[in-house]
Amino acid sequence: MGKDTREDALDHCLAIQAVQKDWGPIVHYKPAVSASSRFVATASGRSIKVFSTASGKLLQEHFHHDYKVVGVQRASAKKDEFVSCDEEGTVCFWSIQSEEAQKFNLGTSSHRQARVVSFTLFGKDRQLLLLVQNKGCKIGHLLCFAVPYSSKPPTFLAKDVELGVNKVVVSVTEHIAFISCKGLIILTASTKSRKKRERIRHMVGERPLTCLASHPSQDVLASGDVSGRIVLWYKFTSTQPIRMELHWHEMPIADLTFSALGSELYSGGSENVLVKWHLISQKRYFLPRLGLPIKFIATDRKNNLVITAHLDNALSVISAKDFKRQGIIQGLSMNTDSGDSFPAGLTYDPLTRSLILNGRTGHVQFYDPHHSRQLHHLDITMSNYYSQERHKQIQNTEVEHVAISKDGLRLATAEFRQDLEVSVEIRLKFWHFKEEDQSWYLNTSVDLPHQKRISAITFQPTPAPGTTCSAVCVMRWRWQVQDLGGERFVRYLWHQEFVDEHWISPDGSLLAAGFDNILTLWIPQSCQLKGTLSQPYLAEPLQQVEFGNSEGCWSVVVTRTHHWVCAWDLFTCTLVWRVSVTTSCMAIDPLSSYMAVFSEEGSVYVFEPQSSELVAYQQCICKSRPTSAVFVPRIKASDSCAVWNEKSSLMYITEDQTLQAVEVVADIESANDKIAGRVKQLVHHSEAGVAPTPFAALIAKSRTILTPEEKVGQVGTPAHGVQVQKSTAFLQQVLSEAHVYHLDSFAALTTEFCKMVIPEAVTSEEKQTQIEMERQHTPPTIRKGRGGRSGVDRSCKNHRNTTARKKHP
Amino acid sequence: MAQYTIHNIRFYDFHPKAIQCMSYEDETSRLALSRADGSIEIWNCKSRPFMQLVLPGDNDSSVEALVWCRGRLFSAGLHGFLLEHNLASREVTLRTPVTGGPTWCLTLSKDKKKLAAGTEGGYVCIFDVVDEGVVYDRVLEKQEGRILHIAWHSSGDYIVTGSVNCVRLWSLKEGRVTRCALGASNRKDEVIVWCVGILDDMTLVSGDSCGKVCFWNAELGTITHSVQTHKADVLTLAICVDQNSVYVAGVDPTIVQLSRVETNTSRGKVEMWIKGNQRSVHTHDVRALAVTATDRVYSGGVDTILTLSYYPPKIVCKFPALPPLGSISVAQEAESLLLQYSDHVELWRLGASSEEGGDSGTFLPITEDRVKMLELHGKEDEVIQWCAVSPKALWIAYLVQGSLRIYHFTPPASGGQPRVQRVREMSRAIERSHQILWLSEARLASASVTGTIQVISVSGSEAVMEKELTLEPGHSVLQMTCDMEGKTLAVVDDKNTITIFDIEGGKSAVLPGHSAPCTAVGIHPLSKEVVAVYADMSIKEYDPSRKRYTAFCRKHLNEPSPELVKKHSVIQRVSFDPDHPDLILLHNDSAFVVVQKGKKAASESQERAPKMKKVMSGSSLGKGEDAGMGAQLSVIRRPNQVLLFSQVKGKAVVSVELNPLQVMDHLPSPLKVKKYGGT
Repeated sequence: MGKDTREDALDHCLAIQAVQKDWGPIVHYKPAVSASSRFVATASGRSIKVFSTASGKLLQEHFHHDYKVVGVQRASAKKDEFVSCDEEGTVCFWSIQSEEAQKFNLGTSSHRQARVVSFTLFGKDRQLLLLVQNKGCKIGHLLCFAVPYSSKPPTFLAKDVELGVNKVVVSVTEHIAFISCKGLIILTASTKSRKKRERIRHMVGERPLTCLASHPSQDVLASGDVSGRIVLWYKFTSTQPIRMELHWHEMPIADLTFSALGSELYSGGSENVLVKWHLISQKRYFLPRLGLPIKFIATDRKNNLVITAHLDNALSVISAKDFKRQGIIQGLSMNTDSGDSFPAGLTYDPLTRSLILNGRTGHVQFYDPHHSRQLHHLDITMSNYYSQERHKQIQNTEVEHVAISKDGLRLATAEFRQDLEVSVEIRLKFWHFKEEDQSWYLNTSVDLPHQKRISAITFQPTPAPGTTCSAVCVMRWRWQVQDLGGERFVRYLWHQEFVDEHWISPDGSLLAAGFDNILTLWIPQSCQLKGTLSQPYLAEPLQQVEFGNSEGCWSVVVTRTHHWVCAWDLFTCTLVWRVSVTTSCMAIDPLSSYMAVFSEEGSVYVFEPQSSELVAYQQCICKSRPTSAVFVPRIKASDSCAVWNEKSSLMYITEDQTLQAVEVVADIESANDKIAGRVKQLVHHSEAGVAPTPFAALIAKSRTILTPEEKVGQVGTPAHGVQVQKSTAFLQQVLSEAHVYHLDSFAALTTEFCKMVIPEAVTSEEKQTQIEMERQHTPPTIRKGRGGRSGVDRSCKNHRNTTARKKHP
Repeated sequence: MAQYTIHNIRFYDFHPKAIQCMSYEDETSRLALSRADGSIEIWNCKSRPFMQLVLPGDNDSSVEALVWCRGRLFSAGLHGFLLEHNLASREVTLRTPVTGGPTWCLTLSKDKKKLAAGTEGGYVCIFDVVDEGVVYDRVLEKQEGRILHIAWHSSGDYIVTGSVNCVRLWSLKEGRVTRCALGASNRKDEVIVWCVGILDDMTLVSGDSCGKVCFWNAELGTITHSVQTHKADVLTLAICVDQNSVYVAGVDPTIVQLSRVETNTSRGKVEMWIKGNQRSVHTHDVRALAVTATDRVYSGGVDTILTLSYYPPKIVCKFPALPPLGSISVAQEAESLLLQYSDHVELWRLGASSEEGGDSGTFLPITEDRVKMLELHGKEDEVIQWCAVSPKALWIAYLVQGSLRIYHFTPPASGGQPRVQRVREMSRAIERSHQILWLSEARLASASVTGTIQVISVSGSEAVMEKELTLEPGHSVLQMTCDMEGKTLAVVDDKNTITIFDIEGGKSAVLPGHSAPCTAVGIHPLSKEVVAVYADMSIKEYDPSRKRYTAFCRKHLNEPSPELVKKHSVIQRVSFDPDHPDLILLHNDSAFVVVQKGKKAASESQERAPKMKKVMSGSSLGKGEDAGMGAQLSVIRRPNQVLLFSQVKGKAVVSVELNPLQVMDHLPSPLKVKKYGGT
C-alpha cells in the first residue's frame, strides 16, 4: 500500500501546508488588560491570544488579521473591548464576548512599502495614531486618523519618530509626545482657538530616551532613558518644563506604566525587578526575582493587577495591592531577544510525548505540541540568571545539546559558557527520570569532557551488556557511564578529533560520525573504526548524519551538508544518491522510514533514504528559515491523506521563534496551481542519468566503484587529477582514494583498518605506532593531521586521566 | 622672559568658619553672610561676586539672623540684642535688647518699615525701623517653645513662625494665633520646624527635621502637600520672587527646587508641588540660602564655601572662604611675612635657596629654612582684626577693636633674642580705625572710623598724627595701597571711586568711574601709574600726573581679556616688580596672572600679528612672543587656593596658599549617605 499511496501522492501533488503550533512570542508587544480585569490580551504573530488573569489559561485566540499584529489596546473603559492593528494597517475593534470584529483598513496604499510599527488609540472620538516605517528607513512617520477612518485622509504629524512600541504617547488632554533622536517632542493639542499643533522640543542631553508613559488623569509624562533614569515631566507644554527625576535602575528602562489612578508608576528593565514608585510619598517598592528581564508592563483600570511581560515569553500576573506575583502565563519559553533561542533544537521525548527545547536561559522545557502547552521546565545549569550590567555583557550558561534515550528515561545535556574572561565552562550532564515521582534527577555531571565546544551528543539505543546506563557518544570523548550498586564511574574515554556530527544506527551496533567532510563509522562498544566514506566533491563539512530506520533502509546513512543531501549504502560502501539542496535541518521519523529536509528558503522535502525520489515536497512552506525539525508521533489517528504523514507529524521551529507543524491538506486544487509553475531544477538525481559531466555519468554506471571521482571545476587542481581504475578490488579502491585525496589520513588510519585492507603492507611508521599503542593500551586514534606520528604523540598526550566530577541528585 | 623664584607658603594655618546665615539685597546687589566666629562678610554681587569687606566679630558676637533694610544691615543673635551695623565704620551703631532673650531669627515686612524677631523665650518682638535706628513697637503673645524661624506675609498682616512640633500663623490685625500642629502629639521624638515661609496666596511652607517640606493652607491649618525632599533635616528654605518655586536644603546638602505645578486634568486644574531639579553643590550641611530676583541661588553652610548656582544653563560657581584683607602682610625688603591669627600675630622670615634658577618648574633645595622671628600675643579676650608690617619689618601694627597697637621690632643680633618695644604714647588725635597700612618705615596710614585717612608717624616710643586726608563726604575706605616709597596712596571706597593721594603734596586725583566694582588696585613703583582691576575683569592703567588713562590702557585695555572673562573669581591683588617695569602681577583664588606690557614700538609693529593665548603652568613665569593686545597675559594655574601673591625683594615672589583638603580636614563629618557602588 505504501508504495502505491506514495505514487498517488506524488501524482496528485498533495499540497503541504504549515500549521502554526505556536504563534510565536506573546511578549513582542504590550499586553492589554480588559476593563473588567479578567482578561489579558496579547498579540502573538498573526493572532491575538486572550488569557484569563485568574487562571492563566488561554481562553480565546482571535484571528482577525491576515498579517502580523503590532499591538492590542483596551478600546473601552467599561466593556471588554479591544482594538488591534496589524502591519498592513488594518485596525480591528473586537470584544471578547463576540466573534465579530469591526475592521478598518487605514489605506496604507498611499504608503507603499510601509509597515505599521505601533499604534495608539486616544480620545473620546477614537482617534488613531499610527507609527509607520517606510522600507529601509530608521525613523518613522506619525499619522493621525480620525473617525471615519476609511474616508478621511490622515493628518501627517511628524517624520522623525523613533521606531518602537512605546515611543509615542498621548497625554490626557491630547497632547502628543514622542521620542525622536533629538529628544522629547511635544505636539500640543489642537484646540478650538488654535487649530494647528505646536511643536515643542525638550532636550535630553547625553541620555537617549527609551520609553514614554502618560499619566491617566493629569498632564504628566514619564520618560525612561538608557541610563535607567526616569524623568517625570510637568508643564511639558511650556519651554521650561519641570522635571522630577527618579533613579534606581542601572540598565535602560524597558517600560513605564502609571497605575489607573496615576498615583503610582511602575518601571522595569533587565534587572528583573519591578519597581513601584509611589509618587506622592516619594517612596519606592521593589518586587525582585521576576525571572527574566521585563519587556513591558501593563496595568488594569481597577488597580488590581499589574501584568509584566518577560523576555522568556512569559507574562507575570502581579497583584497590585499586596505587590506579589499571583501567577504566570507562560508561552513557549524562549529568549525572545536572541536570534538563536533554541540552540539545542527539537528533541522528541517518547515518555511524555513532548518536545524538549531550550527554555529559559539554562533550562530545558518540555512542551506538549498536541495541546500547545508547556509541561515543565528542567533547570539544567542550576545557577541563577545573571542580569546584565551597564558597561558589560554578562554571559549565562546555555544548554546547547540535548539527547534522550529511546525509552525516555535518560537525558543527556551539554552546556557551554564562554565569556573570554574566565575559562570555558563545558559540562555534560546525565539525568534520569524516576517514574515514582515523575521527575528528573541529576545522575552525573562531567566538567570539561572536551577541551572545545561539544558539537553533538547522542544515546546508544540499546545499552551495552553489563551497563544499566546507556552509552553516550560525544564529539571527542566517548563515555560509558556505569551504575553498579549505586556507584557511578566512568569506564573509559577515548579521544577523537574534528568530528562534527554523529549518529548511532538503530540497533546500536554502529556509530556514524561526521569527520569534517568524511563520514566515519565506528563500533560503539570498542570504538573501532570500521570505515570511512568520502566523496571528492563533497568538501563541505557534514552537518547531520542519520541512519535509515526501517526495513529496506537499515544500511542507508543519510548525511546532510550545507548544499547536499547524500545517502550512503553501508553494505556496498557506495554513495547511493545525492541531491543538491541548500539545507538548514533534517529530521527522521522514528516510526517509519521517511525523512524530511528543510531548505534555507523554507521548502520541505520528504523522502525515503533508499531512493532520492521525493515522496512529497512543498516550496516556501514558511517565510523564515527553519532551524530545527522533528517527527512527532501522533497520539490519535490523523486524517492526513499522505502516508508519510500518517504516523507522525513533522514539526519544525523557525528563526522567528514559532513552532509549526507540516500538514497535508486535501485541498488539491489550490495547491496544484501553486505547484504548477514551479521548476524542479533544484533537484539533481545522481542516479537519474542526468549526471553533471560525462565523466560522472561513466562513474554512475560503474556501480562497483566505491567513490566515484569527478572533476569539479572549483577543485580542479592537478593534484586532484583523475585516477579511475575500473577494478573491483576493494583494496585498490581504498588505496587509490587515500592516495588521491587523503595521503596523510591514510597514515593516520587505525592499524586495524589498515591491517584489514593490507595485511602485509605495514610501514615502519605504522609498526611503531602499533607498538606504542599496544604498550599503552591506548584506544586507536584517528587524526586528520599533517603526519601520523604527530597524531600519535598527541593522542598519548591527550590520553590523561581526566576525572569526572560527579554530582548527586 | 622674566624668571622668578616662588616662595610657596603653605604653613599659614587658616581655618575658614562655617556660614551661619545669609541675606541678599537686590537693590544694591549685596550679600551679607555671617560665619560661625561672628564675623559678617559683605559680598558685592554686581558683577562677579567678591568679598568687599568684613565686619570682624569678637568672642562675644553671635549672628543668627541678618536682614538688609534699605542698605542698612541688622543682625541678631544669641546675645539677645538687635544690632545695626555701620558698614562704613565697621562698627555696631545700635544695640536694642529683644524681649525673650536669645534671638534666632529676624524678618522684615514687605514695606521695610517693621522688623520682627523670634526668640528663645517664645516671644515675637516687633520693631519699627526709623531713620535713627529701630523703635520697639510691641511684643506678641508668648507661646510655648522657642521660635526658630519667622516670615512675614507680603500684606504685612500675618507672621508665620516655626517652632518645635508646630507652625504658627499670627494675625497682627486680629491678634489671633493659629497653631498648625506637625507630627502626632503622642510621638516621642519631636519634629523641629527649622524654617518657614509664606507665599502671597497664604500658602505656608515649612521645612522640618524629618526632611520634609510641607505646604499648608493657612486658613484651615492643614497640610495640602508634603514632599519628602531630603534624608535629613531641612534647615533652610528660600522662596523665589515669582512665588512659583521654593529652594530647600539642609543637613542633606542637596539643594532641591520645589516647583508649583498646575496640571491640566480631565476635571480641571490641579495644583501640586513637585521636587524639581536638584543641585548637589555642597559636601556638608547647607545652613543658609539666598535667592536673588534673577533666580540665582547663593548657598552656604558648614563646608565654608559660598556657592552660586543657577539653571538654565546649569552654572555652579564656588567661592571659597578667604582670610580678611588685613590678615597677611608682606615686608618686601625684609623678605618677611606677618600672619594674623585671632589672638596673636606671627612674623616669619622666608627661607632661601643658594641655587640660582634652573629649569622652570623645578623645586629648588632649601638651604636656609624659614624662621619664626616673633609671635606677638594680644591681651586675653582680644581679637586681632587687622595687622600690618613695615617694608623692612621694623614696625608691626595691629588693630584690636579699632584701637591701634604699634610695636618696634629689632631683629636679633647674631644669636641674640629679638626685641619688641610697644609704642605707648599715642597721640589723642589718632582715632579708632578699621584699616592700617605702613607707608614707609615709621609712617603709617590708618583708615579711621570717621572716614578720614590719618597719616601717623612714629618716632621712638611716640606716635603722632601727621596729617589727615579726607575722601568725599559719605565715602568710606575699602582698600588702601601705597607705592614703594610711600609717597602715593590709592584708596578704593565704598562708592566705587578710586582716589589717588600724593601724601607730600596733598594733591589728589580720582580715577574715571567704571561700571563694575573695583576689586584690586596697585601703584607702579617707578612710573607711579595706578592699575585698577574691576569685577568684570577689566584692567585699567591710569596716569595720575596727567589725570588720564595711559596710552597703553587706551590702546589695549579697553575690553576685558577674554581669557580672564572666563573666570568666576575676581583678581584680588595687584603687585609689580621694579626690575621688570613692564610686568603687572595679579592673582585670583586659583591662579597667578601676569600681564606683560609689550614695548610700545614693538607692540605697534605686532598689532597685526595673530592673537595667541599662551597659558603657562609651573612655578616659573614666562613670556611668549605674541602681543595681540599689546599686553600678553599668562595664566599660571595653581592646584591650591591662592591667598596672596606678591613680589618680594630680588627675583622672587611669595605665594601664600591653602590646600583645600586642609580645610576639609577641619570640618565635621558630613551626613552619611549610602551610595550605590560606593561605601
